[in-house]
Amino acid sequence: MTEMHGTATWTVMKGFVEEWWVVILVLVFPLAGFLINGLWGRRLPRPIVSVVACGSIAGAFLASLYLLALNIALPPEQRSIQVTVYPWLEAGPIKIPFTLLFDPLSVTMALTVSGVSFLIHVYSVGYMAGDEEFSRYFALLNLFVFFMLLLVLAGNLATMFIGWEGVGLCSFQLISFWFTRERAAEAGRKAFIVTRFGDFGFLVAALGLLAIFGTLDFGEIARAIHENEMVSPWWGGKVTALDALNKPTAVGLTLGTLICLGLFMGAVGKSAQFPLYVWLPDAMEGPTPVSALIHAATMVTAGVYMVARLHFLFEQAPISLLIVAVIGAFTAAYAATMGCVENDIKRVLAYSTISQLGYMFLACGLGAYIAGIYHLVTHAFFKALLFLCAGSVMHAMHDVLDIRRMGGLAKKMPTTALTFWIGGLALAGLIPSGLFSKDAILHAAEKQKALWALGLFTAVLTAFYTTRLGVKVFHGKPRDEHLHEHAHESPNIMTIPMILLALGTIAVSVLWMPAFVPGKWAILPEYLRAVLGEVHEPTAQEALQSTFWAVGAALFGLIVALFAYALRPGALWSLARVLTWLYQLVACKYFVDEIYAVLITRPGRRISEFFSTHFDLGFIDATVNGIGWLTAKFGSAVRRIQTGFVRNYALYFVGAAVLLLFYMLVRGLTMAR
Amino acid sequence: MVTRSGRNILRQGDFRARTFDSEPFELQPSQGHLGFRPNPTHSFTPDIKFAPKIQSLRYTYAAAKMARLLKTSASNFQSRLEAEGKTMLKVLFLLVALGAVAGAIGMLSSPNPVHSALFLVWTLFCVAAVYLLLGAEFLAIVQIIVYAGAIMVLFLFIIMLLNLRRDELGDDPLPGQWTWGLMFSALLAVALVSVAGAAVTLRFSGDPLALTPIPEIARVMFTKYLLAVEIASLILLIAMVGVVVLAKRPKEGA
Amino acid sequence: MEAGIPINWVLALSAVLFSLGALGVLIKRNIIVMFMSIELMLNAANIALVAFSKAHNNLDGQVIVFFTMTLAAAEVAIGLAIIVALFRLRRTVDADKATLLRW
Repeated sequence: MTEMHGTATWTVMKGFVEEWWVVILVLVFPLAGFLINGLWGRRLPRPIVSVVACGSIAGAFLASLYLLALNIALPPEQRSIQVTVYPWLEAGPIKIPFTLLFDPLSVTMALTVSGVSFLIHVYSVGYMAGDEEFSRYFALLNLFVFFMLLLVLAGNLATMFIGWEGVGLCSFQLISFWFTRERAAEAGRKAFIVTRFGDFGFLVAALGLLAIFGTLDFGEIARAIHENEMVSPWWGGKVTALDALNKPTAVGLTLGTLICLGLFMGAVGKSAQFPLYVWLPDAMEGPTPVSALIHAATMVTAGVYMVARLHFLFEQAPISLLIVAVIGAFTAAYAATMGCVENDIKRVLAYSTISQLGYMFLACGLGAYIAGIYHLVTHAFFKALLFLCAGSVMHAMHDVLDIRRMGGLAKKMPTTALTFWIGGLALAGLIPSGLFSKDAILHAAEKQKALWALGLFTAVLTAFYTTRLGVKVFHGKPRDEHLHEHAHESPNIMTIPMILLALGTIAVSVLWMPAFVPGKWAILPEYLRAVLGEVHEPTAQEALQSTFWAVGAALFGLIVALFAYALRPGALWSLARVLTWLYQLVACKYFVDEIYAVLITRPGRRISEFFSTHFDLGFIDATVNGIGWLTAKFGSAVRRIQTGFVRNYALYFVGAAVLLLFYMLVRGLTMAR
Repeated sequence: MVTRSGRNILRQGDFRARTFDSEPFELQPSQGHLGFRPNPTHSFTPDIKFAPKIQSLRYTYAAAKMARLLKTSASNFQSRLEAEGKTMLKVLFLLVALGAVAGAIGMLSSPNPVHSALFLVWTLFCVAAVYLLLGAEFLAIVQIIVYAGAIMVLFLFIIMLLNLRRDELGDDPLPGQWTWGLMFSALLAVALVSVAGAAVTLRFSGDPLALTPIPEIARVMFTKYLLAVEIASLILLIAMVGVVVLAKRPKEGA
Repeated sequence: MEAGIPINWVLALSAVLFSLGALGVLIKRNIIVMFMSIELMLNAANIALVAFSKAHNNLDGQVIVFFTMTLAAAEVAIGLAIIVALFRLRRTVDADKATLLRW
């Protein structure tokens, strides 16, 4: 359990910075980049657009570094600072202001987001050089970073939800960036709608929290729970917070469980877990840097961040944590199986992302939040790197994605190949930092044998498909001579970010290395301890044992893949021909998309069409059009008064005068009586 | 002397005479006139005055008789005049009104526009007569001069200028106009006449045969309505200018 | 009863003449005869004004009638000028021919 961290007010910061707006600079920079590029980008020359976009993210990164410095300078108990930017909603006792929270967790996330974003922005300048809509791309990317930073720096659930929805919106826009392609437009819609499913749960849970606690503020809810304060929930009266959360509901689960499940539903949608993962593979229709940033490093990690942020709430409902862990583990294995048979570079990486996110949820579900966050950070680096390599390959192969047409590219693109292997091995868990993070998660899972077994199985498959991908793309004989001839290394502006990301992948392992200082373990767990709780340092024997299993599994997968693809190509294919049914099942993604289509998409579409024709067109439009029709008919009837004959008009005069006279006569007569 | 009723009013030693009048009069040598006071509201009631000096009784008696006769006949005449005058006024008014209405109906029913104009002239004359009967002789004359003498002449000018003959205007495109028009006009007449008949409780005051002195009209017009006079003159000027402008022929080649 | 003519009779005459004038305006197709009917209506109003002037023993009514006659003269002049102009354009004095402002 975490010790309650004190939430100091703004006055604590006063000693370090004169103006309060410095701390929101981290948000202002990307927003300014969006506005400039969005409003005037078309008229500005490309270099300016690139500089504005990358510069704004660089500014955000520097501001995050500054925030880190400020945060470290404070004593550990007081590192949680809340800044109220704007008193947004106030309705009676309910106050939902616009607040930002600067504590170790959010600063870590901000650093990761802005750092990886910056490198991807620089890469995009090269990748999107040939595209028409240059400025729109960067404007959207900047807006995305703004919303993501808002999400991670949010101080209450409402502000987080703004960021949540905002990244969903930008993701939708960026997936269907080339919206003239039908598949891209469809993919964008699918992403938005599927995540909307999850957001519904999120919103209901948030409302439940508001109804119980009267506030959405993280600090206040945490305090209410830890100190078991009295709250006045919506059903009246005053109860302690824990009693409120433990109130049984009609469905048999406690209220707290329901709220946590609702929140987790949002995470499932946003972080592409089973069953709401179907949008992520299709989201690869977007530009590759978008996939790198949004669907590997940042947006999809929002769910994990949210669970970590609200861990005190989840801990009150152990069932929800169990569900989190189970779904995480299952998804990890499930997605890894599909990744093994995919032939599209980006889709393999997409399934890999889903799988790794499952790992993170597994960690959070088991209570090892810090391990989950660390895996989030490392995954951001190496997955982004892998996607950038894929983009580089696509660039060289003229946007061909099928790995069955690639091969032997290592000679033509050495930098890409090298960085790919660095990222790939980190993904497999064989080189630090991937090794550290995956190992930490598996170590946390050791107590639950079933989940541990799933985790190991996933590790095997991860190594397998990564190696398979690497070998098929970069090594062996080229399968398409024509494409191979024209392949070339990417320009520097694309390779330098990749190199930097590769270096970063390895450098991040520093965060987990034992500091060899008595009483303190490694940098990151120590830093995040105030927020996420104690992580007990593993003893040397425990560490060795878990590492043995993790590395062993990965090596096993690696060797099998090398054998199957490098030494004996075709071996696995014969196996697949034998177990055709299995291969078909996995290759067709377990027919999940088809099941969804039958159960949900088609009925939903039919209902929409029904309402559209009968209600919207038939009733509302008919009413509005009917009013217009009525007016026209009335007008055409009334205009016949204008005959044009003077005598008729005189008749109207006299008639009206007579009527008036008679009216006054009668009135006079009746009044005289 | 024997009166009409056969009573002998002259008696020995009795200088008092009695008539049918309620007020007896006394012959008093000092009085200058018989005690006969004329009605002050009747401006032309003959004021019978006799010579102050009565030389002898004989003359007195004769004078008294004559005075009595005159008085009776004067009052009789006055009352008869009044009575007949009132009836006369009413009869005259009815005749004139009938003439006006007949003229109006004639104007409406005549197919020839010249005949319509002439009927209207007749009607305007009748209206002038009504003004006279109401005691506004200045207006009556002005009516004849301006309306009948200028406006209607102008009308006739135009009718003849445009060389309009009988109404040869073809089919009436508004057949319902006659019914509705007649109905509304009738209703209008009914309404107005009923107002006139029932609602007006005013009565004419003053002498029914009195005429309006023109200096009075002039006084009112040039003090109370001076502004109106000036504006009326302006309006006439504008009308003149407007007529000239409107009736101009378009220039050739314009 | 000192007055000679009951005022009601005069007003009744005015009402009848007014209605006849209105009838003329409604029924007649010749613009000039329409115009004359309007003049008749004006005169009917004048009669009523004079009657009320005598009833109130006030000369204001007669002065108003005087001005009315002035204005009627001016109006007739202009109206006939318009009719002449219209006749020059249309060669007809049929009121039913001027129907351009219709639906």
